[in-house]
Amino acid sequence: MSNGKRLSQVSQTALAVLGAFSLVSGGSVSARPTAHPIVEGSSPAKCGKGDVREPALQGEVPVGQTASYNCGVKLVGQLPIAGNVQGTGSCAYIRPRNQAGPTPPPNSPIYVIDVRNPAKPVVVGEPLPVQNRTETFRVVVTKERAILVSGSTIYDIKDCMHPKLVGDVYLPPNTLPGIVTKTFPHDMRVNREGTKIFYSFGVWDVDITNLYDKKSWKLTDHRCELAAQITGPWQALHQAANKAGRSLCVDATKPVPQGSNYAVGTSPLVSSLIWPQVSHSPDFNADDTRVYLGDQAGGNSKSWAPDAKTRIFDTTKSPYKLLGEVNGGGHGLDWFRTGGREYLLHSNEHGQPAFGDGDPDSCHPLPRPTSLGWAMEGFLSDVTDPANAHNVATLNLAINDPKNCSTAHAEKSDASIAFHMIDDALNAHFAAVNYGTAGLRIFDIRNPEKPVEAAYFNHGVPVHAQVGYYDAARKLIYFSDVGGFKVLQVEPQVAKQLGI
Amino acid sequence: MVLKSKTLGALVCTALVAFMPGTGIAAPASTPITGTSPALCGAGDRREPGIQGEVPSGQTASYNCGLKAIAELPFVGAVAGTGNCVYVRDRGPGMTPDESKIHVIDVTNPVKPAEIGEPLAVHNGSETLRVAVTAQRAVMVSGSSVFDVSDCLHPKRMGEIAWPDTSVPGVARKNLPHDIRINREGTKVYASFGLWEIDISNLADPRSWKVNDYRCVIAAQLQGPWQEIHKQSIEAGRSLCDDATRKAPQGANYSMGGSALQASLLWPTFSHALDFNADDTRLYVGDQAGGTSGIWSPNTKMRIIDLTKKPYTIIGEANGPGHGLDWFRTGGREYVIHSNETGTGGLKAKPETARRTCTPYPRSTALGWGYEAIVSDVTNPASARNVGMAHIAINDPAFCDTRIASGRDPTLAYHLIDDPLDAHFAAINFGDAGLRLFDIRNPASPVEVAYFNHAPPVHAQVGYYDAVRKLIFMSDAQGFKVLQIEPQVRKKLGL
Repeated sequence: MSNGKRLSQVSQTALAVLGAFSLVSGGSVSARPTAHPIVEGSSPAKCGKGDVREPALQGEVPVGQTASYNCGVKLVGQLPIAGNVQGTGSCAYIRPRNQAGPTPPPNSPIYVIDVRNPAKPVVVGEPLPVQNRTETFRVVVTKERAILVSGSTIYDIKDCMHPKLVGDVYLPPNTLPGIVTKTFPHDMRVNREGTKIFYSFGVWDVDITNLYDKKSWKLTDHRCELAAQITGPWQALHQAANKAGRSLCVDATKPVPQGSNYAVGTSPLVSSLIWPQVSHSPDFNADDTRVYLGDQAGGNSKSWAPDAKTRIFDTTKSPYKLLGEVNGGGHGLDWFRTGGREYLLHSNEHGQPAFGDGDPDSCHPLPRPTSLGWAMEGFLSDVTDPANAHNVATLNLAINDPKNCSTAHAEKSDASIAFHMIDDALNAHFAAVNYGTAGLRIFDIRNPEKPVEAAYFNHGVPVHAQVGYYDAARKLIYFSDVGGFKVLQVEPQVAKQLGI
Repeated sequence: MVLKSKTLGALVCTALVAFMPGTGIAAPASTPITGTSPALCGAGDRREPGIQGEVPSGQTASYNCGLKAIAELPFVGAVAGTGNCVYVRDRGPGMTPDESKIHVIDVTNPVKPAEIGEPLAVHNGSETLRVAVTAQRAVMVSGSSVFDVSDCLHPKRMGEIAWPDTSVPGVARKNLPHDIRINREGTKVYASFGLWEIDISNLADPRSWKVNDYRCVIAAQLQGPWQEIHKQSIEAGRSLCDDATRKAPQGANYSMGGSALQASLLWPTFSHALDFNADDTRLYVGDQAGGTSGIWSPNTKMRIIDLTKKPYTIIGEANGPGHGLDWFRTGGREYVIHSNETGTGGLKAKPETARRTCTPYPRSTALGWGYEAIVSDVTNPASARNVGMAHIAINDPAFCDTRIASGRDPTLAYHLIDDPLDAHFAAINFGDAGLRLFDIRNPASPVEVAYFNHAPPVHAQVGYYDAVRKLIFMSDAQGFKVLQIEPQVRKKLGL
């Protein structure tokens, strides 16, 4: 089948399919016709001169081809260091990750990259040692402070080229009998003020307001207060325990036999029944008064919470109070504001080929499950009024459309989302979405009900937990795929379209 | 002791309190409290000097009324028996029933009981040891050790039950089995805490003895913080009882929780002693509302479980505990006598517990409130209800000051029914008040008919009644004793 003929068929089919769905409440998420980006088969991104457009469907890498496409963004510099990426100003940070292995090295050091000359990024000094790895690492910069946090390790990066080690926060050793892999921390995020670090699974925060007084850093375990508010087999247990003043979170702090010493159960099954996942990647509203947490409905937890949910909690008083929720997971989760309203972009992770959890398959018609492994689309949710939070649209690629699933199967496509990055959370224009075999995809999200792809870069699969960094002053995106660290220039026609 | 009018007034008020649904157990209206025991003493008996159950300060208990000691041996322990054979199990290391020994006593001549052979080593202690005898078989079980006692003087070890080692991190003491009971047919052994069942129908083949864990199906039927966890996991085909059988990290390997608190939130106790109806189709269990579990189930409950089909189903409940629990039938109806354990002294003498018995009825029946035994009519499980109470005056609110002055702590532990299928009396282990016999033929008004108090009975001594010779075999802190029921008591009881 020629590309042109197929595109035409895809376009008609996609429109017909999309027109048949509307947003519904429930475990699956679909989009009403007006809310859905029109997937016309090929990407609507605005390519520039010299760009190498995808040859076929949006997100497709045809059999026999090696991904080497770009449209609207150009590669201007690179380094052969692949890993998670963060940045500030002319500094980028890369924490390497072994893509080939089942798990990353636990404590990979972080490389400091000088990108003052984006065409010639260079490593500065020795890599920074970090401890107690988290899936992502994060940088927060305010007028008062600039910090980088990876796992338990905090660096002061006011002098971004020369981070200064501040110290390590205490993180308890959550354990399960017979499981040697650390289960905590899993992922983390620093609030916008840079005063608290939030860790998952569950929700823990560490107050680092007094950055240079380590003794003042206080760890607070919010798992129990949240679990008591979340429907599931654990709820009555935590409600009863909390009410009796015998919280399992206090019990966890005591050594055996007085307490559990942070043993989360006696088996993975027991653990899943006591502790809801609650969160993976947290994020916050503009003034840090709300935290957004999405679960993944994966593994044993899926048995009790089969539909992924993202929840909104009020952090202004203790205990944190559940204010609202929307459908959809939170492996990657980013809050943003645009047009005077507040939104979340949130997604699960993994897709076809099957992650082994529910046989995710892009042939599955919309609406699809939202559990772990069903990360073919991301969700945009209006969270302006938490009590009325609702999904407003999905981010999709044509390669993941059900009508194109035979193509996706043939090409072993795994265009699934991991993390995303918003250019400016307080005044958002675009989301750069780490889309697996479809590369990095940039969506115009100024109208969140109709996200439209504006650019893409696919020279290989982005590193799973690379979030990336956008240098607004120079319209540069720092990111990493399996081939290494890359500096991408947003092309003028895309910058113009996005209003950046 | 002469009762003052004020005291009598209090007693009248107490007697007017009827059984009420709720958390506590009220004194039955039909059981007036007279202060002194109504037991029928015979010639030469040494009546208690004060009120019922009292051992005045400075005195050593040496009272008997309606019961005479006719022989004794220096074996102190839990007692069970059959025919002319009695078994006394010593305390094991650390005063636990683990790894202890059972003495076989020939009581053919009751005034000259004699030990036969070497004591039997038993393993994995249970609080009581039990004997079940039918026309087809005679079985004795202690902990995991199973004996054929068809030749009762020469028990034959048949094997060991493979009780799993349920555990809580950091707690060295084994917690399974805690207590056991053999069904009336002698084909199954049940164990607490929780509910475990072992089919020993094929007594000669220990390999066929399969352990069944019913904790989860029962927990899913019990209100509490654990209920949703068990309901949902069973519904999903992921029962925690199956999970427990798998080794870590695939399963819990019988670990009950990451801590005692976790364990209490996941696993309701719901049982201690267990008993059955006449044809083993119903099981009776009661919790104790103690320790951390007491936080989640502060009000004790005795529950009735249908054993005729699976999953085993709770078909009724009544207020009250089940540290000691015995089913019986009388007057064509079915009853359970059930009680808790320990009292003011058993809880390490917390100052606030000393005046517990001053608490008016209805009062708590939680662990540490083992002051009376409750009698419940269970004929219709769906309408099971408390009907009477076996109690002694020393534990009544009106005499709490006397009790405190005595320095004694008479509390219940276990009881023995003479014949569950046609009950006449309950012999109740009443701690510092000794062994007390109550006429239970009118279960709404149990009346004490005899007592024997030379020392507190061994906590878990259940005892054995030889109906042919009207003998009770029991053990107190001083040793094994053979008690003869005196004629006036026999006559009173219709034995």
